[in-house]
Amino acid sequence: MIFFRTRCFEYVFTVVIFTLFLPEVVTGQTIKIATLAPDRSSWVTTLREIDAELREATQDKVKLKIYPGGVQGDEDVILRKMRIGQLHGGSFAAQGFSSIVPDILGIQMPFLFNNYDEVDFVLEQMTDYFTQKYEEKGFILLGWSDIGFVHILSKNPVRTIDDIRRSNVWRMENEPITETLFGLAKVNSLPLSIPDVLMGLETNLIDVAYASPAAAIVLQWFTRVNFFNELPINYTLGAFLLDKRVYSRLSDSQQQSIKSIAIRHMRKLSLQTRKENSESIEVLKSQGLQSLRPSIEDINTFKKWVNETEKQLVGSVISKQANESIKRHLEKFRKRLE
Amino acid sequence: MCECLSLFKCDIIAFPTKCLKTLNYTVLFVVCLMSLGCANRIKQSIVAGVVEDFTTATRLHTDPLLVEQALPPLLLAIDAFLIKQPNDVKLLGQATEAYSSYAALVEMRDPVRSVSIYERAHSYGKRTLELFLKEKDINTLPFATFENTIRKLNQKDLYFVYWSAIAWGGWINSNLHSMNAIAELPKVILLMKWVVDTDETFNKGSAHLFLGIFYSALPIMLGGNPDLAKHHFEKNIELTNNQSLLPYVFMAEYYTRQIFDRALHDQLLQFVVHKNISEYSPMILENKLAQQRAKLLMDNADDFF
Repeated sequence: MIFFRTRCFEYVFTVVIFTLFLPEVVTGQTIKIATLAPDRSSWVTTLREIDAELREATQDKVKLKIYPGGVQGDEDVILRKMRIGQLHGGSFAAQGFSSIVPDILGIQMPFLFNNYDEVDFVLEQMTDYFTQKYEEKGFILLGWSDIGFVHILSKNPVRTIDDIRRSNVWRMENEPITETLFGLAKVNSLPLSIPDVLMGLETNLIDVAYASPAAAIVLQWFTRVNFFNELPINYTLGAFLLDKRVYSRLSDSQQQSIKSIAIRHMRKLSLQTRKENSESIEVLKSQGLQSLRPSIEDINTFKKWVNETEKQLVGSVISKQANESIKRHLEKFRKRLE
Repeated sequence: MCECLSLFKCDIIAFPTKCLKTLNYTVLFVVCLMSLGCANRIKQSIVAGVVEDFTTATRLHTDPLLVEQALPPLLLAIDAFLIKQPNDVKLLGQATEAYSSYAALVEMRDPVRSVSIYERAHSYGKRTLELFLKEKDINTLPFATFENTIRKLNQKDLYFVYWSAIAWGGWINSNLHSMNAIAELPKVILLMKWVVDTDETFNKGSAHLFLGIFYSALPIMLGGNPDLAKHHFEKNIELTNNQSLLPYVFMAEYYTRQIFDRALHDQLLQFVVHKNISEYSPMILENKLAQQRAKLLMDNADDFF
């Protein structure tokens, strides 16, 4: 009897759990998309443009419902809600979507790219690989978008590794590259969530942070630092992902429409972000931040620590296959220019 | 991020209009023709009086379009006086208030046209602040220096600081494509915090409303703070003796979206829509506008929640 009850309970429990994990029916093909980006930002504007074009292409049969400003929770929560079918997609920054396919971190290694031409070439070559990796995990990749090259912001001049070691440096929570790099280079770093960084700078808990120039302005971090390092440290990107189960319920032509429309608009967003970042560098200077340039020797010292970091992460966090492909494509591109 | 800034517009609209009668164009015209020597003081006093009358009258009016159409002659008169007296602080303050209010009214119907009007409002407001702070180019002053500089301000500057901040915020909101403009937002927030610290009751606690919108329109990830937003909205309700419907509408539009609370959203809007507004209410215009906005938000709630 006890056995029977236990089995009954297990059965009911399994059914309930199974039901919970089934994606909610996409009523009238309304696809629910969440993002941390605020309403009226270029990210949300892009999603609205995708929605408008998608409605037109599908005669209003498929549309997006957009939840901006993190109202559905942070990126981890958005992903969780996608898994249980409460949400169907999201536009993510690297931290969110690298948790699904950590190989994407290979694109974001410090000092990997020198310019956007290299970024564009390698991303184009790697898109099929990443599309397949995301699909294996149940997501459809609907395009990349730049966040941009990250720069160091500091209260005091930071040019050398010793300058950094004398500082209290912010690092993003649960981000393996900076965690490993700062550990190896014996840099005193403090993990803080992004909303806490401004307060950390205000209270001198930290005196070094890093961000793309546009993010440094939008997040107001620039108001609490005096120096901006002109050396681009690493490239960061975002992506638009859709739940594969929802995508597979669309007709072939609807799938084709959403993919081509989204990829085109995400590319447009990248170019817009590049313009904003470039404008932001000048704005930071006009707002009184002094720009710094490290010497070649100092850059080489930084690169030495990055190489050590890469050795630790490749094979554990980032797959050898992804790392080798990225390097191979990059080398091919650089050889073409020689 | 800065969507919030557009929404103080309804409050600013709590600006003027008994004055088609009061504004005596003939007098203004005659004043313009008078010799400079004797005219300055008279001009200043007429303009100041007219702006004040407009402000009072508009609060009591229910027709935003009528108010909008009545304002341009006054604005041009102020412009004319400022050509001769470009550093007259009192006139600059009046110009900032008048142009900000007019821009907000225009923005409701024609956002594109409001951009150049905000530009002018901000240019007057910026000049006013620069005179008070004895600093040039305050927009590019390093933030830490700006923070130190505003310590020079005192309570008698309140009117000028508030309207300069409103004009600056309106200008930023109409230039969100520009990283330059976005980079100036922290200074506006600092000025509004100064207004709250100096006299939170100023202009019916409008600075609280501004900060409530600011903290709730931003995602938490980018510095939004629902607790602070709620605090500022509640202070605004308290300081308007619960007579203004605007804080309820803005709470519904921003705060309840930020915390994703549909029940509270609907409850606040129902309250606004069903509130009887007395014809003699000193806030009749803004409350009528608040009710219009509330109905619109109720109709569109499903788009968001």
